[in-house]
Amino acid sequence: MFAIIIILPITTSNVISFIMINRISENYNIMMNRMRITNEIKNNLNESFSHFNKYISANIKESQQFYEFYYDKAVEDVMVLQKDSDLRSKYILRDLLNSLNSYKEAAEFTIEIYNNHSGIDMYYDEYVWTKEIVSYCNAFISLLSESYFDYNINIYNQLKQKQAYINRVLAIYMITALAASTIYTMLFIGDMTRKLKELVKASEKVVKGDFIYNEGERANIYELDILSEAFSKMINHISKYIESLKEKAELEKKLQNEKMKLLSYEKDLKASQLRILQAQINPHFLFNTLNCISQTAINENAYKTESLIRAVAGILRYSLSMMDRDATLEEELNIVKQYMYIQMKRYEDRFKFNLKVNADLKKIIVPAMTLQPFVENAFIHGIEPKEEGGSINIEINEQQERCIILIEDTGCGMDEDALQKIISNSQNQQSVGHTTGLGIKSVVQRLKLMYNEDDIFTIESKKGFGTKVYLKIPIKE
Amino acid sequence: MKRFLKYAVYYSVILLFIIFNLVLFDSLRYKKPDQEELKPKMVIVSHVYGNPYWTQVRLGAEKAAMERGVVIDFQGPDDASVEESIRLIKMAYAAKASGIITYVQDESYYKDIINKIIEDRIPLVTIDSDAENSKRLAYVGTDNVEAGRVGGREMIRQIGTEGKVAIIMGGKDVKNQIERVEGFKGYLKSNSNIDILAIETSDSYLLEAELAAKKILSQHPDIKGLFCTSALDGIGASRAVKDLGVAGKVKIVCFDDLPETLDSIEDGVITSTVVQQPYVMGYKAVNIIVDNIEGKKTKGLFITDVQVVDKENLDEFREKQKKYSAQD
Repeated sequence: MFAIIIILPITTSNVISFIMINRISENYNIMMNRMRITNEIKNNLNESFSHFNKYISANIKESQQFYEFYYDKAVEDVMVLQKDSDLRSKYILRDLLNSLNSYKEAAEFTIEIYNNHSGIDMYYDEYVWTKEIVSYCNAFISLLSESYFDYNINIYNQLKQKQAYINRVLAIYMITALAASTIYTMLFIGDMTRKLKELVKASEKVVKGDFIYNEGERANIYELDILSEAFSKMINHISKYIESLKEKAELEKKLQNEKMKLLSYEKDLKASQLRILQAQINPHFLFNTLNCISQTAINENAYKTESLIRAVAGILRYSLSMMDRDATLEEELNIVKQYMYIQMKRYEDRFKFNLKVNADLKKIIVPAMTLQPFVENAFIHGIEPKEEGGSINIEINEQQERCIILIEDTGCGMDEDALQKIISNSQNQQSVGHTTGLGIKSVVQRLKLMYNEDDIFTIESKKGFGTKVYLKIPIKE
Repeated sequence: MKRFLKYAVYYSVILLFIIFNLVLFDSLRYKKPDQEELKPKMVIVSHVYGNPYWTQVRLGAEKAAMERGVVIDFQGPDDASVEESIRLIKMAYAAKASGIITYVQDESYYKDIINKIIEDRIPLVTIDSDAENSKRLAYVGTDNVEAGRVGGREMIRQIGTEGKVAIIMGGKDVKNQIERVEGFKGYLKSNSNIDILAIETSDSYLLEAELAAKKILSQHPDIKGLFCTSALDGIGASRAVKDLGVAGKVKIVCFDDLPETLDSIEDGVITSTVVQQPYVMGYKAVNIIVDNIEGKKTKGLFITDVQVVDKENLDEFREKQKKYSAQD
């Protein structure tokens, strides 16, 4: 478009100048040619007449031939001019040709009389007439020059007028082209700056961390539009990338947290194991000894003793072997039963133990040694301190996707402080009197970690009435 | 919408440029001169080239030329000159013009060449002034004796049959002037008792005419009328009577219809003028020549009427003049 605006007028003006110059020079050539021929006619005529004179005065035969030769040349020239002339010149040329004919006639007539050897008085009139005709011919020739001159001046004026007209049109043309290109350039620059400003603004925003970029109107400038598009894409990519980075960081943080939790838990576990190992330096020795005692008890027919020892050995084995494994609720419940058996023997009638199971215990998986600490807790904080004793009830119910385990004692109950102490029981504090050395808190934490749920453990307690512990275990298929 | 506007602007700019280019290239077109057939040419040799009277002749001739398909070459000396006029006639003869129409200033100089031309079968017609004794085909023009008589009649109408008058003529040797004076004299002699006190010559110059009139008026204060036979004499006389304060008292009867003459009639300084019909002469002369070329033998005298113009019919006359000029 821009090229058309600029190139077209320039080409046009060049072509037109070329044509005009050609035309002017062509006209000039034609004019010069005509002038030359006109002059030639004049020279030929005069030459012819002078030879005619020579012939008359000196009777030179050659002169007669020359007179005719030049006359013919003059006539020829007139014929040439007649072919291409304007109307006025053509009329004059006709007159000239006729006059030349008259000249020839008169001259021939004179020569005829002269050749008859007449005296000067005989051909004088004819001679004078011939001479007069030559002067008329010359007059016509001047008229012809004049006519050509006028004609050419006329043409020249026309060309000049045309030139002026063309110049005017060209000037308007150029001004229009200039205006058009100026407007076009201004619009172009306007589009460009608008787009560039947009880009600059967007980059400033990006620097500040704002990744929203509306591409806005197209500038219709190919390169800029591509740039803008690329910029827009780049920003999109960057913002997506940053988002994914954030997500990743969050995930990693979570992972880290979990790892930390796991680590602390494992640390708890290791510590408790260590304590157990410290307390029972050689479990094999202990088991072997217990087995030996139990054999002895059978031999002595002391069956009660034998079953007690077996219970103790079972609990010990379980707690040692299952420490870092998961167990079914059934296994857990067996341990609790064994533990209860021992406690029954110990406290005799001071408490009662009720068990109600209303679920498929094999299905439910829990960390080993989950249930026992709660029961032990009920003994330590509920039954033991109470003079008249109480009862411990365990109820297991399946409710939808969960298994609700209720561990209830009718012991002395706890006040808020004691409750908090149990819940927040840290590893540093000795969990007084516990078999496994595991505090309630670590048990709960293990559960939470295993099922990845918070809503698992609830405890209610009232001073003088007892404590209720609920465990809600999700059932996993 | 904006897009549409943008394209509209684009295309209109392109269209505008195309129009510019077309205009420019169109202006370069070259008109070939008309290839017109050459027509037969009539040469008119007038008395004086630029004279308004002869311009009327020319207009009439051109009208006829247009009608008959010939062209006119109007010639004439810049000042009245027999030699120059004859040279022009000879030139036309040498150039073998199809016809020659000429004014005859002095028959004796013209007779030979006219005869020679006629012998060479080139039709020649005299106009305005005749060469009676030559072999010219025809004469178109005023009967100057008759015109003089018309002038005499007008003079009697103005001043009655008694009194004294004087004559100013354009040239003592100019044929038509002599004839007019002759006619005037003859008419007065046979129709009145008017005395002609003086005959002065202006040689057709304005200043001389004025001086001649003044001379007559101062020598003969009792003069009643002035008869002026050439176009400029009347104007000179009118200036003289104005200068001497006798405008209107001395009746001026003059010839021809120069604008100043007509203005003077309007002012009442010139009483009346005898007007010839140069337009009709030119028209008629060309027609006679073309008739002869075409084989119709048209020969003899073709007298155009004269007319007396005075204050009464002045407007009417001017209208007619305007009509002739408008045809050109």
